[in-house]
Amino acid sequence: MEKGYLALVLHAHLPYVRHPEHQYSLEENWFFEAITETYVPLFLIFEDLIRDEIDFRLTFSVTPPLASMLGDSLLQSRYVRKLEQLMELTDKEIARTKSQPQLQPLARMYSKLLARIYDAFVNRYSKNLLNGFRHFQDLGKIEIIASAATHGYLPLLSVNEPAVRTQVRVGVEHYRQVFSRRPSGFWLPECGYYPGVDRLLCEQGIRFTILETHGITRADDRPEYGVYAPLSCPSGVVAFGRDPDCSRQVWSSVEGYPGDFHYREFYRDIGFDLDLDYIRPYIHPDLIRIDTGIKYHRITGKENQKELYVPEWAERKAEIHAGHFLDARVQQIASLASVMRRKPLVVAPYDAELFGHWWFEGPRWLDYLIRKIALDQDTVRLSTLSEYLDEYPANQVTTPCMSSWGDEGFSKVWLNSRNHWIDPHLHAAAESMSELATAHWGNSNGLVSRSLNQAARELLLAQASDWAFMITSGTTEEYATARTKSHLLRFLRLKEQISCGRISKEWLSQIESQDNIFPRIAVIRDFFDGAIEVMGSNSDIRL
Amino acid sequence: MALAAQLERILTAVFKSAGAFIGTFRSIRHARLRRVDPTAPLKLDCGRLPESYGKTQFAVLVVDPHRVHAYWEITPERLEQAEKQMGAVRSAVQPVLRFDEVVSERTATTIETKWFDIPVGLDARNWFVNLWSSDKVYNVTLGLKSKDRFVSLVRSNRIRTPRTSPVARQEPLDSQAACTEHGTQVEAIERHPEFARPAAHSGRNGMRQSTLSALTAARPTATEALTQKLAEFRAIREAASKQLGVSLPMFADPPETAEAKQDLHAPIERDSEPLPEPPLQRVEITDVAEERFQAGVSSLLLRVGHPESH
Repeated sequence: MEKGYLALVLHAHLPYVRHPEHQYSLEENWFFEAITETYVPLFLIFEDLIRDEIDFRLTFSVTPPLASMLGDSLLQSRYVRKLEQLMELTDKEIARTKSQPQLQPLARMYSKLLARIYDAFVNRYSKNLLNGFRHFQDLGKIEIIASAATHGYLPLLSVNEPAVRTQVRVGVEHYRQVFSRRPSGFWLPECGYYPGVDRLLCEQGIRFTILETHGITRADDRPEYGVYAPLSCPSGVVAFGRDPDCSRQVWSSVEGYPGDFHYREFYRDIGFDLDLDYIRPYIHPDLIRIDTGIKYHRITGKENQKELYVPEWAERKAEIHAGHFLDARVQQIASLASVMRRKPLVVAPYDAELFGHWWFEGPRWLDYLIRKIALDQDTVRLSTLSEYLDEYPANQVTTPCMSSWGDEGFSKVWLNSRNHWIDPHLHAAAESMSELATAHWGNSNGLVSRSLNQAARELLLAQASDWAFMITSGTTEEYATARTKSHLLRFLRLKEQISCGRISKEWLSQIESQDNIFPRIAVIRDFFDGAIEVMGSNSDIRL
Repeated sequence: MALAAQLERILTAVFKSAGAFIGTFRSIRHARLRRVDPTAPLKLDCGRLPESYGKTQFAVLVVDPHRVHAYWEITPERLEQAEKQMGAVRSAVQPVLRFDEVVSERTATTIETKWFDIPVGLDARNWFVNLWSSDKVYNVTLGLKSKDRFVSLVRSNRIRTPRTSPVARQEPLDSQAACTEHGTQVEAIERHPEFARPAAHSGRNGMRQSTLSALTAARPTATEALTQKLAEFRAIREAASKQLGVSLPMFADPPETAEAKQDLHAPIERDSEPLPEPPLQRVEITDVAEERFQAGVSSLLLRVGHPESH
């Protein structure tokens, strides 16, 4: 009999980076890399576990922008082309490394891995990984939770409640369309919680959410069991807290597992290492070098000199680290169980993209961990958060503390001297949206309602937390700035056209097909003051 | 002459009409050719965002327990009106952010007894403010201040700054525990009868026992899975060896080199690394979690300073 539970939560998210206007888009590559390195490898692990009849439970958040891209036929076909190119490159690599016997087995390893990924993506999941997510959820192995419409960082949007309500409601509606069921849980983007947002989750029938550790430990009343039992917000929505030990053991770039010297080095890629003429067909047409995903080195040490990757060593390390993680959980749960009046729950949320993309061996670690939990011990059992709540529906009632999982634990990442220019525009646009919706509510002109909904889509896309983060980190600042401005400018132009009664049908059609997220949702609804009363809960009614 | 002039007028009119017709035809044709293809993709709009929205507005956003960000736009009319109210010379007036502390939000009283002012430059239109205390509720007003007067320009949303540590325990342990076990959450759940409980998963215990008894051999443990994976890598190396006609090393175990010993994790002796100390008493669980908490541990951490492209 288990003494407590471990809930692994994988947050799968990418910003909406669909660019039909370019034949080749660097940003779409983020999405393609995540499919090749994270989502499909995780599915392959799940398939193996199911084949081997190893029981497991995981919680997944699949955000609406990611789900929309996974279901998009343009991106699906572009991905297949990309994967075929990559397979061609590994074939070339096998030939190129003929005289390098240390390298060739690595090229073969990638070739084999990509063939498996291609087979799964094209043949088993019919190019749409949402089929995979639905499949594993229907089997009861994973629980998928909803998230905000475009990953808006809600604490900073909260000065305009309709904006937050729209992020939540559209996220939940999109989930229902994609997964054909109501979500129990909701992933707050960046774990960004503020007192009161739970009420908006409650409006949408959400049962639980997940907070960073201090959101729970610093609640208005002292939590009886720390983060090892959830709190119930006054609205009735339950807030689970992140276990700090699980975070540190895996995540820390200094002491975390992914930094082990035997693991694969992320920052050495043949896209950068090999001769330009050779690699030219597999990088950006403007000869901008990119990661291909073919990486031959291990982390080796703190110096720049990198040794070749040895898969056998990395594999052993993944198994050792899985054992180490489990030992820590067994000890932790046993000691917590001895002082708690209920079974402790350890909640371990991670970005899904850590597994495979940043940490190549992450999916292997997860596989070993799940097998060890199922077969090697009896103290810890995997659980979803819904299953835990079924067992413990009564929880301490108090209000959690504002918090996020960003640097320093609050809002600094999304609001600082580099990106503070964004919020005034987002807030002004949200206010304009309410004014427009109220002025034109019930307008029978189809063009007006289309324009209003598109304006709301542009606003949602501008609200993505990803842009402010990229500006802070300085990684892709130019792109993030352009995306924010472009969506806001499109919003303003739509506003002007609606107000003047001169809507450009052609331009509207263009941006509808371009910024085509949520085509089947009345995005505008919550910006109209009386919308909730008028519309009731019928989500299919449009303007 | 008159006839010739009339004929000329008629011909001119005909030519004009024909020209107009041709012009119209051309412009229609041209318009057709120019018509934007509604399916043609657009590039990102790269204009400038408006400097102002022509409205008086003001918001304060919480950055962290000790820092907030205020931004504003004041129309010239509103400013002029406020300046008139002040009745003082402009040089004697200081724009300030006035923070009125709401003493107890939880008891719903709004007795604003404590306040402080932060001088700002009105033209800056935004200001980061560092605060001495955390866990406070404020109403913030942007206003003009002179020696003896304060005139409000605009009031903000109410803000609440977060705590920096857990609250102290207020009740004896036993009564708190009883509250937890028989708390009001049951009532809260009853308020939401529409919650659909997730479909029951196939009984975990049942499945586990049945698979343990019947399928143990078919369920590879982590050790068996590792052996299998290592065999796969061995096969890859053997295939490569065969093709290349050389003998490749098989890398069964990581090396016990000085480099590996420097590795923080290599090799991990299962019991050699300090594992989390068990919490000694129930009362300390929250403090233990708080002490171990390290902020900002997520993918955000990995990406900062490590551009996607090198």
